[in-house]
Amino acid sequence: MSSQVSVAPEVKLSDFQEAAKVVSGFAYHTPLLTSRLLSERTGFDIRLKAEMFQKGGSYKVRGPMNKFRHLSDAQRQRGVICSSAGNHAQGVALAAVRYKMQAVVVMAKNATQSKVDATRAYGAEVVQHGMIWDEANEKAKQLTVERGLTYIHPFDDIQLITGQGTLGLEIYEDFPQVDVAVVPIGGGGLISGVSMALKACNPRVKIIGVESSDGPAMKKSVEAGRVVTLEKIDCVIDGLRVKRVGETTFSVVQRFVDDIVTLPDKDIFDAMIWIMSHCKLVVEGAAAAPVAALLHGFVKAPSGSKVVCVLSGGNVNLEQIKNLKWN
Amino acid sequence: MKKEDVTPPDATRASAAGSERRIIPFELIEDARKHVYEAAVRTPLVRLNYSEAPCEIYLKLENLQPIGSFKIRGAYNAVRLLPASKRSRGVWTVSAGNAAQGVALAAKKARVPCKVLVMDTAPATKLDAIRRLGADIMKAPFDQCWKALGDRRHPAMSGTFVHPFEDDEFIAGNASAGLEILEDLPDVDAVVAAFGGGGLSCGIACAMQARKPGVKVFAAEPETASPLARSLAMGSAQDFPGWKASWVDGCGGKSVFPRMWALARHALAGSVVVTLEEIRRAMKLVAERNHVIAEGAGACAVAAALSGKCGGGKVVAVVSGGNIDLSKFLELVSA
Repeated sequence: MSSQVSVAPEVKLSDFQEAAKVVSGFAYHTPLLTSRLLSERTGFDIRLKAEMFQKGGSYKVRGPMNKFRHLSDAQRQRGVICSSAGNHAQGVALAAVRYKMQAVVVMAKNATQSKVDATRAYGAEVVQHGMIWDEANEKAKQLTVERGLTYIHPFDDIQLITGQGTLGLEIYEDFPQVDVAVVPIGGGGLISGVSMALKACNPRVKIIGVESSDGPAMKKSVEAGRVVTLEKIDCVIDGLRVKRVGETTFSVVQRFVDDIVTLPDKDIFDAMIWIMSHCKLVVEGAAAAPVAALLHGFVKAPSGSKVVCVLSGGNVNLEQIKNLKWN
Repeated sequence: MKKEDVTPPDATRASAAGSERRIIPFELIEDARKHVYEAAVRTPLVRLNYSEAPCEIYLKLENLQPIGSFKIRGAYNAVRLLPASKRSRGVWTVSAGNAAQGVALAAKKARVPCKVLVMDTAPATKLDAIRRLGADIMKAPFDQCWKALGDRRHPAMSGTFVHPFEDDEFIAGNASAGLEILEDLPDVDAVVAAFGGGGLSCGIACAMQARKPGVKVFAAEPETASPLARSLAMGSAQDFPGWKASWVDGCGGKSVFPRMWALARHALAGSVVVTLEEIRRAMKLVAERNHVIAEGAGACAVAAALSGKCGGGKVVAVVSGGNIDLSKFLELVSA
């Protein structure tokens, strides 16, 4: 994809297998589902990795489950902190309970009350600060210092990435014939883990990333050959809306991802409605991005290819889409 | 309320004959199990993520079948077992919903034509799904459709009739879901499935009787249409006089068919009747906690499990289908 290849941290198959031992002690091995209609529409043999069935409703519990086993006893005693009003918060909170650690989650003051309640219900302390994520994140960094907590980044952390990659191992275990995996990209944590894990199993597997064209932070970075910060971002889909990807995720994607395709939010939202109508699955916007890419013919592969779509999560506010419109 | 229902009037004309005990041979169920995956999939069994439930509830996700409901199991098995001479003439069935899609897909796989007699009240989305599967659709008034189901013939239909629930081959196909439940959850205490024609709950009950007789199998019915509960109370197959159409269109008949009564009265542990509001809440719970879309009938079984009337322990609720208009679903879960 780019002539300038930076040095990506290489995670070995055995590292993923070690992570899987810990992650699978708590997280579910989610099923690979079929979709007759999607297979007929695309000419591929398609499977859907149903991560909306995961604990917390998204893949996000996998990374912290692996990350936390690397913390020292002293770090575990003091606890962890993150800033997120979405799946990362729930993933950190759930995994912290498993490790009997305290978790602090910083959210903006205008975070949806149901997300605040859900995160508290998982046992985390919620601190609300600022009006946007950046302000909440500043507060989290301040508390990290003040309270001696360990900051858990939502994507740019190789131990976290290794945990997310356990999802890739499961795909290979259940469907070793896989030719192509299509994965959404927000900050790049999921695709970094999945691409390295799948290619560790079989280097010939193609990895296609999908981003919103209303905020293509990874694609722009790969094109530039370095991490770039988007000047503006119009993407409103949780999990895809990232202005600047990580240094680590960038270098992994640059090396292990074969192509990145982009679609506007609207097409991704339409795919979300399509999945709900035809697959009977409740998916969030980010999870619909790979299906959107397939429905629009953006995934290029020989007819009959075995294609896995990673449906990353199902945490969507159903009231918000009541009129089949993105409000 | 939009009338989307396929439930028939006056099916119990022959109910006096329905007192003998009927059995589905287990060999037929085992044979179905060997073949159903040529068309159906082995669906996941997942734990309902709801800690306040009165029992440990698991969801058998039949809404994830290729046609969005369990009906592909029975329909495929029934069409497969037709003698070649009968199958090659093409098949037809009567339904406005899931059974029609099951028979249409089975016919498509067998490369034979399929005709469907559809209630004229059927919504466009269901007709679209049947048409996409390549079946010819003929609309007819509701009563006429039901008469055809009882008579097993209709002047405008030709080919071999596949009954959408009451024949052994169809029921044996459905029973394969019961065998999967036993494999995934060997210490299951009870199973509950919606009762429309009765083919699903009775099929699963037959599988349990053969493999693990201690497992109780319950029917679930909406209060607006619960002829089985009434029949069980009175000791014979009954009509349901106060029948009302509702968005729970995949279950809840106007009456119990005599041949199904002969199975149900011995095989089922009882009928759990739930309100539409309980079903709506179960639909919302399943969508929010487990991220799947259950149609009314599927949510009806979950509501029955949540009521506590299926007992404690490990209870499997069969989410029989997910074929509901998305706008209707969103309206219900947003209320």
